[in-house]
Amino acid sequence: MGVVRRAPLVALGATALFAGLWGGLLRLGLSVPGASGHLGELHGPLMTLGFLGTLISLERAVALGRSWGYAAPLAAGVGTLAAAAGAPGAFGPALLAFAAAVLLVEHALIDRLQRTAHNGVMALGALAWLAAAVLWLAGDDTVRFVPLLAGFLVLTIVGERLELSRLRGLGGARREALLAAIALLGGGLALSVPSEDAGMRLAGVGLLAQAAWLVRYDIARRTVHGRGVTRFMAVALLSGYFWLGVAGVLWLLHGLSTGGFAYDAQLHALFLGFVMSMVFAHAPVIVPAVLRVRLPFHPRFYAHLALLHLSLALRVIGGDWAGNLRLWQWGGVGGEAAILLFLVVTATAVARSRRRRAAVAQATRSRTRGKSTLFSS
Amino acid sequence: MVVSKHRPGAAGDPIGRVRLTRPAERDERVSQEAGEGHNGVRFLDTCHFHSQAVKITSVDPTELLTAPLTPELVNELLVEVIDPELGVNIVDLGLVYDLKIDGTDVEVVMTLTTQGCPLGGFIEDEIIDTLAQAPQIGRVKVTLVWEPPWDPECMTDAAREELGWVS
Repeated sequence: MGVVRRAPLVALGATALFAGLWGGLLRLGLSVPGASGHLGELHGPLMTLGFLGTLISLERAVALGRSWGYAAPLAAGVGTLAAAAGAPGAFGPALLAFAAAVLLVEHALIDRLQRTAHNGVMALGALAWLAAAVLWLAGDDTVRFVPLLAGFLVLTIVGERLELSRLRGLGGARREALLAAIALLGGGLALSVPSEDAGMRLAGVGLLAQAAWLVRYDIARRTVHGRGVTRFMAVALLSGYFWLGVAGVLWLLHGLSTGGFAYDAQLHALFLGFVMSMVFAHAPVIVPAVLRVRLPFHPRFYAHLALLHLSLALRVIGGDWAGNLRLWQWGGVGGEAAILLFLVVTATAVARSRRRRAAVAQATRSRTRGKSTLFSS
Repeated sequence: MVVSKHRPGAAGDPIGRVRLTRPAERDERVSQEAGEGHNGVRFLDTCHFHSQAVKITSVDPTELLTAPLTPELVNELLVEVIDPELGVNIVDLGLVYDLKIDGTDVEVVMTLTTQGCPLGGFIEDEIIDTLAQAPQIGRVKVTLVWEPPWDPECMTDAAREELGWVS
């Protein structure tokens, strides 16, 4: 399936993102329109499944190259937006369960082609998504399946880091240590279904152990000494691992703490601090891969990354920990601003690259067979 | 160091196809594992095209514009294609399995570290952009293959050092 057909799916994910961000403003208690709808209530599913679920399953479909794989991002985007729009009953969550099932089938297919541990970990992530959708179908509130939503994203990301650990020759006990941490998280997620408090605490141990492993062994520890986009990606990764560790501590200490400031910190340390940092880190690679556009690195990429982490620190320390409502709101708005800035910076970099390439092509056409920048440097 | 060339025009091979193998000591180990004698000519199951071998026969960088189109030249150019996250080029990562040349057309046969990796399109674009800058090269085709699967053994010592190989 070509880029022309991928773009609407990216737009679908972006729509869920904007709806989720709007819902986030409602949850921050700000006076914005729409308080009577479902956007605030479904802020979590919109961000995790509507936005990230759509993009992750699109990424997987692109990688696998099977047309039917694109049913997953379509169902994820439509399902979440339908639920947010107030579609009756099971329609939204059923589509989300279908999307997760397609993703699972894709992982099963990859497993048949090439059996690897990292693919198995990512498949566990898809299973967590499926379990969350089933709980939603059964009528549970978001708070009941939010650990599973976190599990979907963490397992997907950590599966990829496990794969990259091969490039550092990390085998034996070191690799088993990460697999043990992943098993702790998986066990915690499973336990969270019958006993959410105990499950979250156990999962917290797993998150903390994974963060410690990643900070110690991940390839970013080496690539942070690189330059340009390589260093940027490493900085984003390592700063994300810090928040993963914070989330692990908060999950372990507080367990299920619905509705309070601790709950806010537990979720946003993970979803904003860790997951969004991973999104920022990988955008310079994933955006070109999915949309086949150029996204040249620019140092201003650090702006949205810095804003993300500073605003989150303000939210967690000033708001959640110190109890200052105003700082909590400013921190929350700052996080949303970081995501919007990320989109603007990314779109600007793509557009600038297009203009530059068009100018180069024009100049090349006006000459005979052109000499290249590669050779002229 | 072994540099092994297919006969030009051999069955199934475009003109000028060349495969460069890994360093001799590793060849010997693989040949032994395969139950062949030390002198047996056998292409490796993985990492067919290894930049450590290429370094020996590499093209002088000052002659890139005028050098004839050979797999060595293409390989030299592909060193410019960097995996952004790793900061290491695709040749040193051992992702390039084979280079085929037919007239001015080039086919890059390569793999990715895993089948679930979505970067195929990104790398393909980078390769085409890079090779398009060489006046000797006409059309470029990138073929992704999964057999044999990529293995960390495919990386050069330079890549391992860069990435902090620990074992």
